[in-house]
Amino acid sequence: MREPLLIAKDLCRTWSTQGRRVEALRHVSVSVEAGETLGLVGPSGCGKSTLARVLTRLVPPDAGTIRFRDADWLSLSGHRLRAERRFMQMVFQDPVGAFNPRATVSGAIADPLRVHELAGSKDQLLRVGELLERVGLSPDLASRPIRDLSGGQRQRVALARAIACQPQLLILDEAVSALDLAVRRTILELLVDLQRETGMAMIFIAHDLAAVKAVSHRIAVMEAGEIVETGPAETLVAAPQSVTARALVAAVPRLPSV
Amino acid sequence: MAEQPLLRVDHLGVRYAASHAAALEDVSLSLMKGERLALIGESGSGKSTFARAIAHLLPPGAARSGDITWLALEAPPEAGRDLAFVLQDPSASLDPVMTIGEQVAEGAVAHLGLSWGEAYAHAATLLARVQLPEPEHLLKAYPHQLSGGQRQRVAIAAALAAGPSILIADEVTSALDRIVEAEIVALLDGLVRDEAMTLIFITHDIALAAKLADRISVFADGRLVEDAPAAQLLARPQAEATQRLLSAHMDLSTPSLLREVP
Amino acid sequence: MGMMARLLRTRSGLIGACLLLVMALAALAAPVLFPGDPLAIAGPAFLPPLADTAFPLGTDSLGRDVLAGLFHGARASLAVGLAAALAALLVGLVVGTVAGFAGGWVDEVLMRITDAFQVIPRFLLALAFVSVLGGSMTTVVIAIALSSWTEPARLVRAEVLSIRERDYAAAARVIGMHPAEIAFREILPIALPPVLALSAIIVAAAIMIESALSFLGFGDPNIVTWGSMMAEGRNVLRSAPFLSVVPGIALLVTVLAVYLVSEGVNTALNNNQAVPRG
Repeated sequence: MREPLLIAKDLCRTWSTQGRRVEALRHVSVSVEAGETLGLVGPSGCGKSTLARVLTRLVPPDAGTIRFRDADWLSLSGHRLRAERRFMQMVFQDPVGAFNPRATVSGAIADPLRVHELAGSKDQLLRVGELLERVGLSPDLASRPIRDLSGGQRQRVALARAIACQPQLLILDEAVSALDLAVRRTILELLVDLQRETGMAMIFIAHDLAAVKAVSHRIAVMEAGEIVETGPAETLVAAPQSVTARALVAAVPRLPSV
Repeated sequence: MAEQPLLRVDHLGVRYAASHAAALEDVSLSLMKGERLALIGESGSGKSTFARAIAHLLPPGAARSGDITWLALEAPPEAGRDLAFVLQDPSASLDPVMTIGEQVAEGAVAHLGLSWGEAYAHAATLLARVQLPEPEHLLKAYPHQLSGGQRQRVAIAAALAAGPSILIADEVTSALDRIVEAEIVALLDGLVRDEAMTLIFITHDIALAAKLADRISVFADGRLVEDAPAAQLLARPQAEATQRLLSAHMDLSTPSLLREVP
Repeated sequence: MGMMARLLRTRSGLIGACLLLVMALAALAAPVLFPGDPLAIAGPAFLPPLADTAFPLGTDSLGRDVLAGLFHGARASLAVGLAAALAALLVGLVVGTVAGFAGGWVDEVLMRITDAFQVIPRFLLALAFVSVLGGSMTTVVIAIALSSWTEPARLVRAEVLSIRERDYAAAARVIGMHPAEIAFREILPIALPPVLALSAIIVAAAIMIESALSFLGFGDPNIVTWGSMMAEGRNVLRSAPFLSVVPGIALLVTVLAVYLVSEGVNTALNNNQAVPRG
């Protein structure tokens, strides 16, 4: 049996500021198989974003191990780490802050192509056009400054940038939370489509259980730095065990039956 | 005899100073006293502009055409006194260098003529009303010490300090997680019912609108495209924008988007 | 460039830029309008201004043309001022970016070095440098740069520290960009605008330090600068005040122009209002 794509064990991370200590992660363990989507859901402050940052090595854990693609992820450094990074990419929550304020659409999407030498400068424009179409945007947008785009368009560009280097794992940290519901749905459909096509695994982080359930195979529920429940998406939602999961289920607004 | 509406808007148009397109065009609607109206639409559809226009809170340089008539009041309503306006981002309505007590008591001092001592006592009552724990301690705390949901409750308390009869809530839960959102919505529901307030609730989530409101008005591209009682709008949506908002709704009964479910 | 257009739309920016343009033209035109050595004796000594049409601003104690000196002095002052400011900015930008981005002990070491330079009063540092190494255009430029790099360094570091925390800097790391590329390609250009506003002040200060050094006799003895003209005029201040006042006014106007441009840059930077949505 193949090892899962990502195995994180016993991750711990504490933030201490001005005498206050917050345990953002308390012995968190998650695993993701190739090609599956793990939904990570919980109220704000539960540690989901910290987990995303620890997994992508933006922040070092205080303790714990991570195995990614059959290798010790945390021990990599320098050139080897930068090369391996192409296989784990992330889409951020804030469509505004996720881009250099001066960037153009093609500049941003070409960055990973350039960094990992996946396309010569002539081919880059071609690839950028392909990627734009893949995420449902017109290739004409390539020369536009990202400033000019709407939130939904920016997240599509962020997706294009994230899949440009063909990652095996895509982490989405509240990537649709700042978007309108109408736009949200189309982005979720796009995500599922991309996964079907590329076979990449995803970790979908959100506070909205409905969005998580729509795209996830399995769901992990977090509360106060710990994973309190995991299970297949349908089962967990149908019969939530933990207090947090039940509160999340109850909090999803339903349309009154008409 | 037909009751007079509280607010009547006729052919309202708004254009912002630096923009080519109109933010609002030819919007007419009326609001009865005690009614709960939800304004829904995608971002940029004009719903927030409408709320600011009727509260006379448009930025300087914005051009307005058409009529806004508040019938049951002698003068146009003043934010704070007659009108409670709560925004999406509590950091925009709460001053980071003033204590919570000061900010909640301010409205009472300014519009009810209470002394600061009386106003602080009133503020403590309000903070308890919005279900914040230990109100007396909170009076001396600062906004940055609270969570997003708590800050939003403070913003609501501050807006209600002078006892206004009209509450305008502009995307007040969009920045909060679902659990806190549900609590804030329940809070607003209770407050509006207990104080017999008139409510204008702005959101892009049609399910939230249906939860709180009797009537729903749908905005798209600066125009009012549909206006109907909530049940009717959900059962028989007419406008394309309404149908789009309905199909964008996702809850736990929505089938998974994955082709094979394990 | 959008920035330039915005700058010229502000009143102070426009006036300042015009004045600087006049100064720059004077500096460039100097060898054309006044060929030959401005330090050569041209006429009778102590001619007052407007007495002789050949010497509109008169002559100094040795009979040298004051107007020629003024124009040639513009060359020296502007050249030294700009070169020194540029050097100071480059050093400051590199130090500030490396310190802010690397953090840790690199930051500590660089900041202690910055502290050390900052503790010494600016002018004394420049003075010490030229008095040891002699006064020439090059040493004067280096001296002024040494005394001026700490401010841009601190400013850039502060900007970099805040920008470093933004999502797009994190995104660059996740993509796998090399830290040097992130620091100098992604972060530094965004950190630049406040430093540009500061650069105008650095130029002004550089011009003044140069004049002061020349005035004290530490500048390059082979060229005319406004400072050296004022030094010469100092001895005859009672009888021929115009010899000190004229270069003094030129200095004043130039520094004022630079400050006005810096005001304009600040105003232009802050005039970016967003249109409300929704």
